[in-house]
Amino acid sequence: MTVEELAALVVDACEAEGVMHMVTGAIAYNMYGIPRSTKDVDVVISMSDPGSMERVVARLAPLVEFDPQIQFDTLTWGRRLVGVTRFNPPCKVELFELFDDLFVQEQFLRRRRMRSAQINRTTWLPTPEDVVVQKLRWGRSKDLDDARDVLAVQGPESLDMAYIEGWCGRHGTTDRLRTVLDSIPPL
Amino acid sequence: MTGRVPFGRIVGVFDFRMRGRNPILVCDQLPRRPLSATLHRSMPSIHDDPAALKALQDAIYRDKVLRARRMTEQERFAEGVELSNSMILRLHDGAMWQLNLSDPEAGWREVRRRLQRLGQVHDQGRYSNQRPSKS
Repeated sequence: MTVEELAALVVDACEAEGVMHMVTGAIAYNMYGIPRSTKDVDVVISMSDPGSMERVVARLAPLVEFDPQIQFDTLTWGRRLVGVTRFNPPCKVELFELFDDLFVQEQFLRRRRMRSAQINRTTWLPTPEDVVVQKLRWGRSKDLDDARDVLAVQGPESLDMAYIEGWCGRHGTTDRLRTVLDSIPPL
Repeated sequence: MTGRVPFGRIVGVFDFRMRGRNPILVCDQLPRRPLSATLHRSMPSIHDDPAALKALQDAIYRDKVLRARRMTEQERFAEGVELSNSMILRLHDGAMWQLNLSDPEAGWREVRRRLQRLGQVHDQGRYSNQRPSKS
């Protein structure tokens, strides 16, 4: 099974369970930045219906082995469940719970419905502005590279920079944004 | 092994000698010193010139950005998928070769082990098994 087939599988599981979702991580980045490889399929799942995460996990269980240990990200304390495909090649599935963080809520509300020929599905993705804000918030070197790439490929002139700057101000990541913008050579 | 090698403005008879366990390329018609030392003198390394190195890095990055801009979202996504699927097969090839394995399943087990370790490194400090108590 390929990474796009795995993505289709996760989207199908969410749709079958009637769970609102958003594909994020490198798959979203690849829509807006410089194409790069990934080993993960990352999906944010709405918890408007209690038990959503568990139902999606149960539906994927024949093909994906999930770690029963729930993890919390140390930045926002959102819940994450991680699974690895039972078949080869191994790929990771990460399910993130949509929780009461203001930015995460806003990102989810602004998500775009898109048709992907590769996964042969219509699915939901974050906007490029939200990918930039999220990457700057995480702030690891790979995240900052991703933020720079999306800004460079999309072009600040075609992005809602006021929105990005607003969230960076709230997250205390304005310096990161400036550094990343300054690192883009003249095109 | 000997022969003539044109390299920029350097033309000389060369052969390989062993220095310890390492082969070195030497030129017989030039003062006896490793060819690399000669090349180093005649062809300055870009790594010694920070401005030139930065210009090269910027040019490479600019090419990547402009290429990505010419692609549609679907094309960028498709290329990311292709890179991902190719990368995982290369990981498998690498594990099979490095450990001299003949069983593909053993190769995949090694790939899983390596990816798990890589994930632990990437996630270091980023995730916790417990939410802090609200106090």
